[in-house]
Amino acid sequence: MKMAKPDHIPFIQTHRHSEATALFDDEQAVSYRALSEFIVQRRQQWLSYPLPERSIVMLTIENSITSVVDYLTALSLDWVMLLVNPSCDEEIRNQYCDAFKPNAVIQSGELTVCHCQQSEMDDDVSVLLSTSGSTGAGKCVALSKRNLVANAESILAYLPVETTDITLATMPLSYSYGLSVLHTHLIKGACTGFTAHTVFDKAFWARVKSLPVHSLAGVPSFYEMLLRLRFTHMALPDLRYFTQAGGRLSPENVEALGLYAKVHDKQFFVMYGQTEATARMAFLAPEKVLDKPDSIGQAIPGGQIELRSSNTQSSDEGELYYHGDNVMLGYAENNQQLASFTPEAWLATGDIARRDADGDLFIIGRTKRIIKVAGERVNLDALEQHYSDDDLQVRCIGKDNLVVLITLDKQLPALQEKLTTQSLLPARNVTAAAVETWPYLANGKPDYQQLASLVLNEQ
Amino acid sequence: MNNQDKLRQAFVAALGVKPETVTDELQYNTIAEWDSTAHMVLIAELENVFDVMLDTDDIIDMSSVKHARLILQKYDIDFA
Repeated sequence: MKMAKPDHIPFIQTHRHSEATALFDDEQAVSYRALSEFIVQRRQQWLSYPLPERSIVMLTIENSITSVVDYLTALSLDWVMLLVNPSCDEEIRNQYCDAFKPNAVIQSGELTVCHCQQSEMDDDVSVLLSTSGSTGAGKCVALSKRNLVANAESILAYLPVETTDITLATMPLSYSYGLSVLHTHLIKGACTGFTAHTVFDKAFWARVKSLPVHSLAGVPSFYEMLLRLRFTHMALPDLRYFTQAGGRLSPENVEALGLYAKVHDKQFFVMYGQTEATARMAFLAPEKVLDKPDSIGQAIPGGQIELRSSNTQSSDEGELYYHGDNVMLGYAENNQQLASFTPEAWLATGDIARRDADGDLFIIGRTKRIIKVAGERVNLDALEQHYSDDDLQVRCIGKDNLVVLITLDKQLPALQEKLTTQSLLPARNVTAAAVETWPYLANGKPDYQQLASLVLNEQ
Repeated sequence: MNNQDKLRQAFVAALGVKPETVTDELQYNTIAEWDSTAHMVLIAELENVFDVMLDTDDIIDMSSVKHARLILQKYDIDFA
């Protein structure tokens, strides 16, 4: 299946000549027409290099107009793109280069050729997104254009994005949720803005009021900051709705935001997803937020969710499986793995959920030992390996934003020493603890639950 | 403990820095310990210690130790 139509620009093809504003930053704004012209120009420029038809490129994607032009140009050329966050350090970039052997690297409109050999490429692979933060090596989620478009259309079927809407991107475009906000607004012909200001700058809120901004999207830490900044006391008459995903926001905070939305005639969408599903899998109907602040709601339009359990007949509790056109092609760790994919029909999310009588879902646990720290995925097993050596045995437990590294009593000083010299995570998110002896399960595996109750009770 | 000491202690507790680091000139985002997340913790700590409820603008303006003291004075906290 060859997607490369000459001169076709994904997402914006139908309104590429529109004079409506597509993107803006702190200095300038560009219309859909201007954006399309930039893309056509850049495509001409990049086609002058002797790069293969299905090039793989490493694109450092900033929250900028230039980076969106880079991204849409590479998509329209049917290249395969590894999207890299601008804050990603040199060492990780080098690891990616070694693993994926990109034909070119692109940043801020500048393309640098690395080599011109065509690697064997799956027909559908289009975008590679990293799943790990600073703690892991680079396993990437491989997505097709069909994944990207299908998920954006599902989201547009339930989020009230309007053609005249303006949103302000507060998440990096290298992150699936941030990218989905861009995609939905581009398809709709609406407007996405970028700003260097953070929510802690007055200029940010001045922009929100004056543009005005009609929607906001963010991860739990974003909303925790907004609540701390008295977001619920702000008069933002033009803000119609706001969305939260990317991890669990506490029910108290969901309620506070839900109440604000209710009183001020806005909508608050609590959503659930994973990069493996392009971004979105479920959302809670905004009118249910106050009744069920701990629910992730139901599958998005076009998606199906099943709860699978090995030890009971019940379909109302078990691991959450998702099926839909947004389920990834698969994972890729290196160039060879891009040659072909065999996508799974159902995505095993690793989350354990239950379903209530209304069909709304609640996440109650995880099968995989993965937590989120400051918005990044952290694999507890990988951390254990990192801190353990021949003389020091370390086990690791955690909940979101707190990692506890545990060792035996007599080795605690050695662990603390290691923590100060080899810290992978912010100090406030890590603590060291010790136990007298290791608890084990009947099958001889470490009993992490007992370990958690031992060390967490002491704190 | 006078209010000046309470203020220093709040910074020490919230940012996890040494007392001598907390000078009037210490500014938000100039040390790794005082990032946006720590700023939230700091605001909670100051509100708790001085029993005040800060406005959005004041939270945003609290960009240095000196500013923190000036802002808290608006809430009738006396540093004389």
